[in-house]
Amino acid sequence: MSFFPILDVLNVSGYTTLANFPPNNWQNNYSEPLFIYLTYLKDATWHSEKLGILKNGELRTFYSNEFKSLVVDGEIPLLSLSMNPLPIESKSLPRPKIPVTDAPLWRGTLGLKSKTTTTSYQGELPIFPSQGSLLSFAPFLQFGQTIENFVLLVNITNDPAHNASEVEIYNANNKILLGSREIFSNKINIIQLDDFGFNENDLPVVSCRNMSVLPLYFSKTKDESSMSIEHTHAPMSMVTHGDRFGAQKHIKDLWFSDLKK
Amino acid sequence: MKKIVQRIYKARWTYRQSLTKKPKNMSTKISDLFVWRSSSKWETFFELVDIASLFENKTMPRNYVDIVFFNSNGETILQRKIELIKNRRQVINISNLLSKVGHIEKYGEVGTFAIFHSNIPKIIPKLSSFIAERGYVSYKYKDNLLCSYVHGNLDAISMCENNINTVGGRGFLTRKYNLQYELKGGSVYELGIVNSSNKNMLVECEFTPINGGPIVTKLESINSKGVKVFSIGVDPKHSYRAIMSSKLIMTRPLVFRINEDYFDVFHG
Repeated sequence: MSFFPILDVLNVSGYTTLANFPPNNWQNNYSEPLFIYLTYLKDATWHSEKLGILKNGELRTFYSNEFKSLVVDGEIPLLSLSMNPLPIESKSLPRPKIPVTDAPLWRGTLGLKSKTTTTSYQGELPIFPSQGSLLSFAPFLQFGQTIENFVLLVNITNDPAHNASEVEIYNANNKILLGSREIFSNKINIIQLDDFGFNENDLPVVSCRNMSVLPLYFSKTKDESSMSIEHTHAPMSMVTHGDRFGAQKHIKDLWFSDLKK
Repeated sequence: MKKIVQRIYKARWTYRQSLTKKPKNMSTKISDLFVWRSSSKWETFFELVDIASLFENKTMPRNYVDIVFFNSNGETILQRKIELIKNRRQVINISNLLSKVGHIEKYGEVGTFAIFHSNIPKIIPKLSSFIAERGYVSYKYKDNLLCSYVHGNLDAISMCENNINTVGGRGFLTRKYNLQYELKGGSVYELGIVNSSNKNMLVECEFTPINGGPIVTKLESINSKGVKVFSIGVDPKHSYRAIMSSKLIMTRPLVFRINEDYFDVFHG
């Protein structure tokens, strides 16, 4: 049920590569063609357009500029692979049916391309529940006169709307609120982190108390000759085995209580 | 009958073949097996955060981590204790630490390391869980102004009362890991694969052409806790897929893409 968004941000063009072969041979041996779909939000409705078929064993790369005429500026182009056709229009986000694996999940390449280089990660974007939260400890800031740091907060939900929420930025050491920004569901929300006065030993905390989002940390030189993108783990990744969701709840309860607005 | 056949088929891959082994002692600490690169071209850094302090807001005695370094053959080459600073970020220059033991001359330009946290917050064993370091490594290539970050994601190795053991699983049958990535032309790709099992493992990396070019197959024996790098330079006219085969449950590679002076690093 995952999508593969095209990240098109900050005048750096996005690209996404889809693969029709499973990531391993022991959880799924799917070997049939898959439909390729583009889904996007327009006029409070989800629209899905079939882009073709990806044969088994093939990869195909899509660039953000291919969809400028279809996808309204500021909306996320969501690519997917599906065994079943998706509805052309719907009031709830369509569920592409993709062969199931979990070690790892079925992934695509989500990348950003400048004139000189590219940066990418292997990932996918789940459909987030309408209620959720974000707590991200982010030691990714890089420093220098020509370097810029951003967090890209990506969310997709079932409801074809842009519901607002608030993201707060803190310094983990003193838990002082450094600033807040409004973000919206079904958007790639961009926040520049250089504006908050962090130094090299500060651990930034990015939190949202009522919306789940994927936090992607993107650094680039101003001329885009050098770029880096990576996401933080969910807090549950600080433990293994046992009740990992319990550990995540513990950390979130503790920090949401301590972080004062 | 069909369900029974399906269960038998599945059991061949799953029966007593977990991705990671669960330690018996609840005071065990877990870490990924991170890859270090250190040379005239490469530097490696680690973003050290006091994980335990994120679970407890009371004042605690200072915590520390044990960083254990291995060469590419999985032999321990260095162990250091580093004091943690609560709720702060410490960038550990891995290459500098290694240079103090003359790593290139003695141990080569690539290896692995693990990070074990000294303090286990009380809540973690109560949840039948173990503290795990899956943090963030960054690499710098040549004179690039930026480092490229990559996160850990494998429970690979454990420490309990100074005993270090791998916890990665291995299976009975050879498994394939199909990297869902196109190795496009005009770049050199270096795929680092670690062995988180307790036995030496054979790993084959097949670079399969998508768009012209010959099949390139490389076979390496990787010692427990060690790492091998499988590389290919892709002609601008060609592109490739990469398929890893081994009895390791997880042969997810760390991928370095190098294009003249530019680079990128990511997990498969």
